[in-house]
Amino acid sequence: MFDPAAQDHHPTLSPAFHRERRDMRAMGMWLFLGSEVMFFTAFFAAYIVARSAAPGFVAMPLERGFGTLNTIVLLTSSLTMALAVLNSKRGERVKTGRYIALTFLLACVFLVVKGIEYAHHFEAGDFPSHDIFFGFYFLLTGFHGLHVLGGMITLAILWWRNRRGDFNKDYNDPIEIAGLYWHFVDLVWIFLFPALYLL
Amino acid sequence: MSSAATTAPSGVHDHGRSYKAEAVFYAEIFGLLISLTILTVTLSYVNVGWALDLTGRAPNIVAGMLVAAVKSSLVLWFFMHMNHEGRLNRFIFAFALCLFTLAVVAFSSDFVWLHTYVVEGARAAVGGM
Repeated sequence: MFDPAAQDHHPTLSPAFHRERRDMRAMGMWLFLGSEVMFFTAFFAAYIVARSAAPGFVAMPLERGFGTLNTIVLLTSSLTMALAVLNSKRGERVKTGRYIALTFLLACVFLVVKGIEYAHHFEAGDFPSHDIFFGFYFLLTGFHGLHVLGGMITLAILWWRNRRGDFNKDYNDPIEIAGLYWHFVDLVWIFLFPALYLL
Repeated sequence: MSSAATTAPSGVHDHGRSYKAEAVFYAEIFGLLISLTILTVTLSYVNVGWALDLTGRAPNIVAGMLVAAVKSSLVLWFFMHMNHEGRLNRFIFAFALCLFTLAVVAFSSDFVWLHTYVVEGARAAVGGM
């Protein structure tokens, strides 16, 4: 039976082929992340215009504690993801699995905190249709939350593949490429946090 | 054949440092990111434009976005290893970031201009009537 994972790190493949394949995969991810930057840029630009020119726009005070906590959670998940990639490069399968699982758990914490925050807003009657600010708040944090969810699915697949023994010292591109995506999710939040909660 | 071609690639992240040194370095970057987060929150409570005799939220917004830019650069450079990517990959992402920066700066300038001249000017005109 054809096994793509086995083909990926076949011992007869040359190191040059490994490097070239890794670079091509990385380029694909950087292109995707570039398109993601443009995706969020459109919403950011719309938010700035609404904030500056929409009649009656008021930046409603959000609970900074939730935002700060989630920032710390996402930054910590970036650290654990970087450590997962580092361990995968060294062929440390068990440690790699642990750090991927930790990143997944931190992503869960992020979504739970966000869910609690949303529940508070709904209890207070702050729905997306309530005013322009909350429209943008739910739009931006909602799309970001979907990206977190997408990252979690990827992390779960990677954890399972790592457990199955798909990765080793020479073949670990998927973990590294997924790491790029996860750090990007963190990057978006780094801008969303001050824009929505602090300024 | 060169030695680079005969050895299996250990990945672009293997900078010749020990695992411990690399992990400590990541922890240091993480510490810096947390410190900058505390700075961002602190800045939101103070009037950043006070020293320059500026009023309004514009100086705080600029300061907040600048700290966010520094934080994102740290993540991009050290966690995402942009410093070890090839020129083409760097260009691809840098191009998108330039467009993002252009949009934010251009629209934020409008924000500052509208509030400094249009809104304040309108208020002055109404007050003068």
